[in-house]
Order: sequence, then structure tokens, then C-alpha cells
Amino acid sequence: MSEDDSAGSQREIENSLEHLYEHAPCGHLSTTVDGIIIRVNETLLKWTGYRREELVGQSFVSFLRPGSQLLFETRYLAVLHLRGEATEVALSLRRSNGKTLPILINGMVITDDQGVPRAIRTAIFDSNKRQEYERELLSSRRLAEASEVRVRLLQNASSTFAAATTETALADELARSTREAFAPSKVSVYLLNDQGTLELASGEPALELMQLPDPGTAQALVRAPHTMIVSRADATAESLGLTNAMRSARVETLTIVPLLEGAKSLGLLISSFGRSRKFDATDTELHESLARQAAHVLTRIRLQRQLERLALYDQLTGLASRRLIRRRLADALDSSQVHRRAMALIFVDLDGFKSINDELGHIVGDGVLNEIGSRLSSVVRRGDMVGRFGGDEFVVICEDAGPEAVDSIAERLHAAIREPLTGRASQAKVTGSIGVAFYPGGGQIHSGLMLEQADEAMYRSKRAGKNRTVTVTVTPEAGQPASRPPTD
Amino acid sequence: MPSEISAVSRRNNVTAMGNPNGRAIVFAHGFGCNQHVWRHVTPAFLAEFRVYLFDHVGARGSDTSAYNFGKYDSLHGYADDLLEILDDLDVTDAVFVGHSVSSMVGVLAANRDSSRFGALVLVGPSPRYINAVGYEGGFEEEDIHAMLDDLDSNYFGWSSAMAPLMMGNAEQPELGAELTENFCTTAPTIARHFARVTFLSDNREDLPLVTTPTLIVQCASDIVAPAAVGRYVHEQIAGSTLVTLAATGHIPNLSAPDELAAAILAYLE
Repeated sequence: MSEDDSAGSQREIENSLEHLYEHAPCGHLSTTVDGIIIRVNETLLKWTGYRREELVGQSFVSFLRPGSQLLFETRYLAVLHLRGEATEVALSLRRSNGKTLPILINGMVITDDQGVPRAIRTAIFDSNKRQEYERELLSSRRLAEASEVRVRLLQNASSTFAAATTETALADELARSTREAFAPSKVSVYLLNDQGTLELASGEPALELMQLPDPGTAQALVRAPHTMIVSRADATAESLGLTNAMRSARVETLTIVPLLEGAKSLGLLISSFGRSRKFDATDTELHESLARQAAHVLTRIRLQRQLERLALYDQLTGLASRRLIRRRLADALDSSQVHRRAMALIFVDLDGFKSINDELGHIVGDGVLNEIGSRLSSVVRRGDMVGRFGGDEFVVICEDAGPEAVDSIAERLHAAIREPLTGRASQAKVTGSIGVAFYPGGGQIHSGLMLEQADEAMYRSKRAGKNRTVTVTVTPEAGQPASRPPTD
Repeated sequence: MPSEISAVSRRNNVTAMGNPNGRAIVFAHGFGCNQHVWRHVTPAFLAEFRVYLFDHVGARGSDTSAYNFGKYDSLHGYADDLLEILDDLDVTDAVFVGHSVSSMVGVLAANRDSSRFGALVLVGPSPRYINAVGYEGGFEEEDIHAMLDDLDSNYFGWSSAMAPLMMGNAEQPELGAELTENFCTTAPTIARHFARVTFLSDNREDLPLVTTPTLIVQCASDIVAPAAVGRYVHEQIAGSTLVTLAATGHIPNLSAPDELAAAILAYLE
């Protein structure tokens, strides 16, 4: 071929619009406004393997993969119609051999002189390599994001859970983490209370779980030592009697995760989902990790509460300990001062107790202290606090009590102590020496002074012959507290 | 004219136009865009109707800070919003026109409290996109996941191409084009979640509970909501009317607005 011939045929080809169209370096097709293919170029036929007559007359969307069809119809076409063009949209085309061709498309609406849309032109680019690469990047990015989210959730949970000092605060944090992790429409954290029943500690009630026709369901759930994922259509929902409750609460999926400490369940984390949801092993693991962390912290909070109880209550009698007495006395004095109401601190020392301990032993002695402790509690007014100050010394804090009320309480205490003892101590005789520090209200008094005065009054009643009451009135103005003679 | 915009109106970008004394008609957009998809349909209603439009939370125009993944994890969250909008507008005997996924939102809302609804118009409804035993929704579950992949791929591709537009460059010469583009712009996480909720929901059991007079508008060849699905919805809603348009595809509100408007008006007469 001569150079002239070559240049000539080059001109011929490049001057032919038909050739430019048919053999363009991209696929091209035109459709009606409705999307029916009216023209395609050679390049597209070559890439897709279809014959021209297989494409023309068909709707373009029918050659897309189903997933792409959804995106095409719902997003791409909306943009195309509103804007007149849409560019660089990634889709998947089905080739004649059934294989997928990833494509990028640019679309443009062609209008007539009046601006009425007449056709849509679409340029198609083979993005096989690029999309393969992007999909890989995307999937690794998704994996990385998912695991980053999990790690962050668990780290946040572990620090916010640990900062919780009450069961409610902990339950709130568990509910918050669960919402963040799984986007349920509702979260409910139930904790087993001391009576062994479930109580809602945070979130909203799950279904009417506690009002189900068969209350055993909730208890059965608590005993289940493993995570349950219940779908409304499931046999599990049916067997638990949950189907109707789920239906009326518009719940499609429930996840029920026990808060396990070892093999013991401390409560339930229940998430309700408004549509049918599926959870893979990683999701379940995350759910369980949150529940487990919460259970650990719950155990710690309960132990602390128990320790605090131990410090505040006397182990033998269950009465208030010296620490609690001091705390309560200070509060009572404050309130008494503010409201200008009288109050009294009654100090009781048992007469004749030492000989019981010496002759019958400490075990019998402890029994006597226990018995007298509960007798004292039974004769004071509601709201009075009885405590064991140490040894055979008891105190009673009587708030909002005038002189007559205090005298009458002291009388009842005497009578309660004098009652015959039971068991091995039944032959022994015990009475009480009582000292009362009476505070009429108004002016500032330190709780130490009250204790000192009540103790002092009690010694005076002992010295005066025991089994009687000495009352002193403690006033901030008086240098010396006024005292009344002992009564027996 | 109320001088203050209510919280609900602001959240859902509720707009009103048309005849102030006319019957209320509320248009709700589907997945993929916002209330602007009705721009060519609404003119036919302005003389006779009080026309209300709104954006679902998450869509461009709405208060996206109100997007709560728990609330919007099912269509019930959107139904809650719709009922709040109707309460806020204090309308009765309202015509609700829902496109695509919004048709199911309308069904859920009307089933919960039918008092404000006079008619439901379901445009291209599908109670379930995934095939099940005895039910042909048109798709398999993996198709939905492939769609979510496609959605991600597109956001991936746009990350550089769309960035200048989303930053709202004041020097942009094509302001009109930018606005139009933005009608359909949604944060990727919200778009992905809304797509999941839209295409993975199953509301078949809600159809027989509908007591509001219902028009079902189906397109001639709609791949998203095929003819069989339209027939299914028609069979399940007692007393409903099924109209099949000559228009093809899933977005007659954009591709054949006049035909769609005429079909709705004919039903309401």
C-alpha cells in the first residue's frame, strides 16, 4: 500500500461519522425516554456479545444485573430526569454469555426544539479492571471499618461501664452501646433483683414481656444460658408464646442476651428490631461481649454495695453500725436545726449482761444481744433508728420527738429489756440503764456532743442504781446541760 | 399563614402550595431522591387541592441530624413521621400519594391511625422485593446485596468527583445543575441504611389490614415492582383499584408525570 493510499483511507475512515460512531472507543446506545433501545454501536456489541437485533427493541435496564436494575431505576434515572444528565455511574451489565461486565455510564437526555425530552443517549465504558480493584478496596475498607467500629465500641464500653457506680448508670451505658452497635428500635436492660425477679433497669419495656399470659416465659428466658435470636415467623417465637406480643409491638426480630457472670445470669439485654434482621457470628460475639463486660461490672458494683452494707450494719444483730449511727445522727441534727424540731439520742446499756457472757459463754451472750436488739426495734416508733454502738450498748435516734414522746419510748425500751429471756439464758435477768440526750431544736450542736451527753447520762443512771433513765437537755447556749433527776 | 415553622415541618422540610381551601394531598418521595421528584406532577393539582410535599429524614432538604439509625431501621419510623406531619398540618380526608417505598409507609401509617386519611395512592408499590415461597417479589436476597455494593461503588467513585459540589463552591457557574444534583445527594451511610430498610423489608401482612380507599398505580413494565407484585397488592387490599399506566419503568412521576397525574385525578373524581 502506498503512502497516498494509506492517507486516503485514513481520511475516509475519519470522515465517516458512521465509522466514528460504530467503532468509537466506548459503547454507545440510544433509547426512548422510556428506556427502550433504539440504536447501539458495534463497540458495545463486541463488548457484550449480543447481536444488534437482540438489543434493539428491548429495554436497556433488562440487560443489567438485578442489583444494578434497582440502583438504575431508583437513583440513576431520577438524577438523569431531574438534571438532564448523569455521569460516571457504576453498574453491572449482563453479557450474552451470562458473565458480568462492570461498566461506567454517562447518560444525557436529548430534547427537541421545545425542550421536550425525545431520547436518552448513553455512553458506556468498560470498567472491569477499575471496578475489580475498587471492589477489593471497598471490601477491605468495609472489613477494616467494621472491625474498627467493633474495637471502638468495646473500648468505649469498657471505659464507660467501669465508670458506672450504680446499677442504673451501668444499665444505661449498656443500652447506649447496644443502640450504637445494632440500631435496634428499642433496647431493654433487665436485671434480676434480690427477689429473683426481672426489673427494667434501663431502656423501654421489651414487648409486654412481663405481662405475657404465661409469666414463665420471662423466667425461662432468664434461665437460658445462651443468646437467642427470635424472629416473629420462627417456631421459637411460637413456642415461647411471643408471636402475638411481637406482632402487636411491631417487632420482627428480638435478640435476647443473658448477662452472664460465669454460669449465672444476672439479667437480660433485649433488643427489639422493627424489621427482620439477621446477625452473623461476629455480631453475636459483639453482643455477648457487651453483655459480659456489663455483667463483670455489675458484679463489682454489687460487691461494693455489699461491702458498704457490711460496714453500715452490725453483723450480729443486723442493726445500724456505729458508722451508720454517726452518719444518721449528723443528718438528724441538721434537719432538726433547720426545722426547729426537737429530737433525742437514747443510749442503752444492759445491766447484768456481763455475767451472762461470763457464766453461759459468748454464744449465749450473742443470742441475748440479738434477741434484745430485735425487741428494741419492735418498740420504737416507725422511722426511729436502732443501732448497736458496741458490746452491750445500743442507741436509738428519735427524730421529731418532744419530751413526752421520748419518755414514753424510754419506758417501752425498759419494758422490752425486762421481758424474760428465752432459751439457755432464761434464768438470767437483764435490765437497761438509759441515758437520753434531748435536743429541743434550733442552734448548732455537734453530733459528738450529743453522743457524749447521752453516754454521760447513761453512766449517771447506772450510778444511780441502774434500770432507770437520766435525761439531759443539750442546748448550744447553755454551758452546762440541764438535767432531770433519774426516774425508775 | 403561621409565622413560625413547626419542629416537624422543619425536620421533614414540609412545603405547601396550591388551593388553600382545597382537599389536602400529600406526596411522599421514594428511595433515591427527595420531594423534587414530584415537580412535574404537582402542577395538575394546584387549582383544586392543597398540595403538601416533604422530605423523609435523611434525604436532601430534611434535618439529617434527626436521622436515628434505630428509629429508621424499619419503615415504622417513617410512618411515625408521616402521622406527625398529618397531625401537625391538622388535615382530614387527606389523599396520600406515596411513590415506591413510601407507598408502604402510607399503608403502615393509615393502618395505625386512619382518621386523617381519605385515600391512599400507591405508585409502584412493593410489600417485599425478595422472592419467597408462594410470592414473587422479583429479586433474590443476593441481588439486594449486589445493589448495596453498587451503591458503595458509586459513592466510592464520587468521593473525588462529587467533593467540590458537596463543598458548595460559591464560584460554581452551574448553580442550577448543582442544585439538581444535590436533590439526590444523601450521606453514604444514610443512603446505604435506607436502601437496606427499603429493599429488605417485608410488609405483606400489612396489606389486608388497609381500610382506606386505595388506588394502586402500576407501570407497564416495571422491573422494580413487576406487574405480578401490583396484582398481589391489589388482591390483598380489599376494594382497591388497580390502574396500569402505558408508561414503563419505576419512576412515572418523572418519566410520565401527566399520565400519572391524570390517573390520580380520575380516581379522586
